[in-house]
Amino acid sequence: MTEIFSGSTGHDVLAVFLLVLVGVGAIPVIAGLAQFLVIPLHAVRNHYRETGPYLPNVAVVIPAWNEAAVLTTSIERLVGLDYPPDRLRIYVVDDASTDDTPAVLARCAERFPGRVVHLRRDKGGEGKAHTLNHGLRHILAEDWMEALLIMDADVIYEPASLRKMTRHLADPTVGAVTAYIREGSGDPQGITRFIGFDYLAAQAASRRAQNVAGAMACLAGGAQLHSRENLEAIGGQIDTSSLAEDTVTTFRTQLGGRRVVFEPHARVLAEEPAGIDALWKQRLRWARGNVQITSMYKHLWFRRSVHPGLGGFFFGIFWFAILLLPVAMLLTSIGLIGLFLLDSRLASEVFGAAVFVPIATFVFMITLTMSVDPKTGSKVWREALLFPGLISFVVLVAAAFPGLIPVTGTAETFWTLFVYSWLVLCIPLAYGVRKLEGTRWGRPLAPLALYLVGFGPMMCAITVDAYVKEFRGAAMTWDKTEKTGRVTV
Amino acid sequence: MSTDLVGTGQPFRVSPPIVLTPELLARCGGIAPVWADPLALADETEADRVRERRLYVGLAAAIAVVVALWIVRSMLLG
Repeated sequence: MTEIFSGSTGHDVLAVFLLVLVGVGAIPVIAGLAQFLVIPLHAVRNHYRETGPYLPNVAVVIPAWNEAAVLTTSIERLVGLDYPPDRLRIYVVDDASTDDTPAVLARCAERFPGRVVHLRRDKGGEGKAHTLNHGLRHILAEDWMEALLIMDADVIYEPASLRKMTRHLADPTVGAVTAYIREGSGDPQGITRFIGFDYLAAQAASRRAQNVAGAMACLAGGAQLHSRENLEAIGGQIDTSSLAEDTVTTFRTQLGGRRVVFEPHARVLAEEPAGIDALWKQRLRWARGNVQITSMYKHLWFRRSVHPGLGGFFFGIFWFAILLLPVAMLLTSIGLIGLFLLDSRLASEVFGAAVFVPIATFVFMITLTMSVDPKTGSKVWREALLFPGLISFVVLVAAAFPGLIPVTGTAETFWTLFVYSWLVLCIPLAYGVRKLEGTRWGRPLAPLALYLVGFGPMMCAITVDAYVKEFRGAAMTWDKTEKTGRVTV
Repeated sequence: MSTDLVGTGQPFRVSPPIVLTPELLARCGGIAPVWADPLALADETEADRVRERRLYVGLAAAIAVVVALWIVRSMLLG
């Protein structure tokens, strides 16, 4: 390797600084690898030995605004759950719907007397948390409920899912349980396939690691089961001050001294956005929520004295690796381009020596992710490989096998600069893909563009959008994802 | 209905036993459901616990793929 400290002092300091930038930019890769190395430990470090045959009275609360298309199926599925019928009641909180929701609910209440309760808000549109709180006030006023399941109108639970979740509440140290949400389109295409892989990685795989680490980042919004004691301990209300009410509930539960457990064998199917713009709005809400949470709990990060799990090093690195991923990508790009301009041979040697780490991490992560749910994995393996985008995939292959792309002279310089800068360039291009979908001529091309630029860069672009909107103090609007009822079992 | 905590070492929550009436059994198609039998529930949990060992297979597969990639790369790069 070229001697770094071979030139003038200024040159050496600059080289070291740029190397540090590249190193800092690599932190998310290392954090991702660490997280995935922990996942197999779930085979021995899980909560199954502390479970019991616990079948409490469960109140299911469904916030619904104009969900007529999906409610009947959801309620039929819930009533048909493999769970004692007299211990399950469904409360649908109708957020002043303007479609056929009230009529649909009236028919369901008639079909299943005493098991379906229709609660209607006169004033709607304030968001999911307000709608849930309306239901919670009603449910907590009675003493029937022992556990509360918060779900979305479109999700479908596999028959055994609920009892697989309640068994964890036999342990009184557990305050809440979440399930494995899967993208549930009968015939996933394009973006829903990417979401399918995303959920596989972020839920089935990552949440196992969080179980092992003893700190859960977020209860899935469509599948969170709380004990009554936990709900009462966190104030009996869902947070309405942020866009991440699920995460706030999760943090409050754990900071209150109760555990949050992920149950991977309780499977729940959910309908996800089929268009880029709808996905953008949904994920922007989540990303802004995470930025808000980071600020709300600033006293918590990297302080084990506040909470051994949430305040631990592992959880902190995991949290910030996702939140600051675009920053890390920018730093890596700046570091590599700077090194190239300073000393192209040094840049080439650093890149050549280090590039196998992210490639190996990527391959390791997607292989392990697909193995946790091979059935889903077999449907989305292409999207797994193309998660960073086809262009990034070519860049990675070319980096792993130098000489594959035969370029020399000026062309080599341009190619190298392109490779070093692509980490950042892909983010505005992902924003462009969203804009492309918004044009009449570009709409048919948007799926192709998404495959080229990648789902991962799109998530980074959304995170950047979240930074900007939070910095500007943009209005926190609740953009509801349109549901069509295309989830099939 | 209230949830009781029992156990001397580590207390745990219990729910009242299920009374499987003929009417309830008929609604379940004449076959006793899993939730009506605590032993069947325990077996189900044990099966899920054992199923988690498949994560070792995933780990082995992931390591194998990375090693294979490394070997191919090393061979091609000489």
